[in-house]
Amino acid sequence: MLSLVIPMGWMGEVPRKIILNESIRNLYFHVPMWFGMIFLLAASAWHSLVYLRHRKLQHDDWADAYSVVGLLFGTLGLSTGMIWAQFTWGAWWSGDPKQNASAIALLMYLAYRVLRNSFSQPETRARVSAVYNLFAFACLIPLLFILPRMTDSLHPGNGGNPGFNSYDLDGRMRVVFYPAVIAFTLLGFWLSNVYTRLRRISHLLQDRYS
Amino acid sequence: MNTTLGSLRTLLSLIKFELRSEWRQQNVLAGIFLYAATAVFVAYMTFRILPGPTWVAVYWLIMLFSSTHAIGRSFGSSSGVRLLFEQSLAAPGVYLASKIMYNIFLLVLIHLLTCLCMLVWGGNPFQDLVRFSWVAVVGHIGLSGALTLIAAISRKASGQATLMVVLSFPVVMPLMLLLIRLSMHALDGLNPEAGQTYMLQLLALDLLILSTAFLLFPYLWRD
Repeated sequence: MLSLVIPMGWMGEVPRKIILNESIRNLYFHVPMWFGMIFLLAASAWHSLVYLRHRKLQHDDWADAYSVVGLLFGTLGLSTGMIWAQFTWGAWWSGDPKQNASAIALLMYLAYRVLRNSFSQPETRARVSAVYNLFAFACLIPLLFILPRMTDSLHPGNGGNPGFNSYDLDGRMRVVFYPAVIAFTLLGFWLSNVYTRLRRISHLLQDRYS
Repeated sequence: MNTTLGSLRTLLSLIKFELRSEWRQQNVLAGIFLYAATAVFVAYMTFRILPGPTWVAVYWLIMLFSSTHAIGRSFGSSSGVRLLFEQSLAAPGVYLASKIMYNIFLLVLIHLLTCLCMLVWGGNPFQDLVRFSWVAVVGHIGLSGALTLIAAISRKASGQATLMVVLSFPVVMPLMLLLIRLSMHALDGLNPEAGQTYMLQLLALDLLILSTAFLLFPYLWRD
């Protein structure tokens, strides 16, 4: 799927909208990052919940991995957004509500990383960071979905700017956009899978040689 | 019915206990108040003139820092023995409620002091000061809920002060944004109806924070 998305994203035919022009291609890369991040962080929160219910450390590993990859996707989403903003809005950072909200989201999950690293005992770490993860996710929902709608934003899709609603997105783009979302999300889950397995192997090796 | 009454009584006695033990350590309390007052004075000395939006921004910044500071020690002050004693007395929900309610009380005190200092040094830019106070009090409920839970978390992680700040600032950011928005309304004396949706959102956010805190706290509690 990715092998379809990437060449199509660069070279496929795109409709020319006012303001956006060719930069509409960022839809294929920037937007799937955010979708992927939301799905990954939701998965992370879900595993934290399951950990608190069943107390199996493997769920904590999963929550950890999903949050790491979610953070990676968030960073990529923010940087692709910033590059786009530099050329469209004229500044890397213009204090747009969406930029601010996503920066706060990243800070939350960076704080989660810091919290995880401040424990030495795996059980306490799993329990306490699961609580923080769920709390952060609960605070993330109003942050990402409610607050940005409060203020006017220059972000495509807000305040009369062309975005990816049903009028702007035509059939040619849909063919690439939907697979892009699915493909990048799957990539995220695969990365988390690899990350967890790597962590498990390194734990096993540590146990064996220590 | 009987159990609700019983837990209500435990709640009250826990708050009373908290108040009394805080009263015994007056220097700590005085330190927090002095922290807020000094911060206001520093802000005043650097800005000299505080126009309305700056007033609001400085107020909420000082409030954020001093409340993180004040609530950050709400689980730290109890020694291991006292913590064990308190834990055996009450259910986790009741215990958390007592802490949150005490912290709301503390935040309102800090709010009054900060507000007073800022009014004296910075003047009163508000067209509707009463509304600002209401907004602030409603905000303190959510602030206290979020910070109390984070304090419990950072206490479990050996209670470093940095961790408390790092964990709590991003989490209370949505609350802060709403509060600043509503304070700006009070500043300009806008028609209350204009801010109604924001007020509802603030209440909803308070409710969300409190309910997640009550749901999650029992998991932190058991060791």
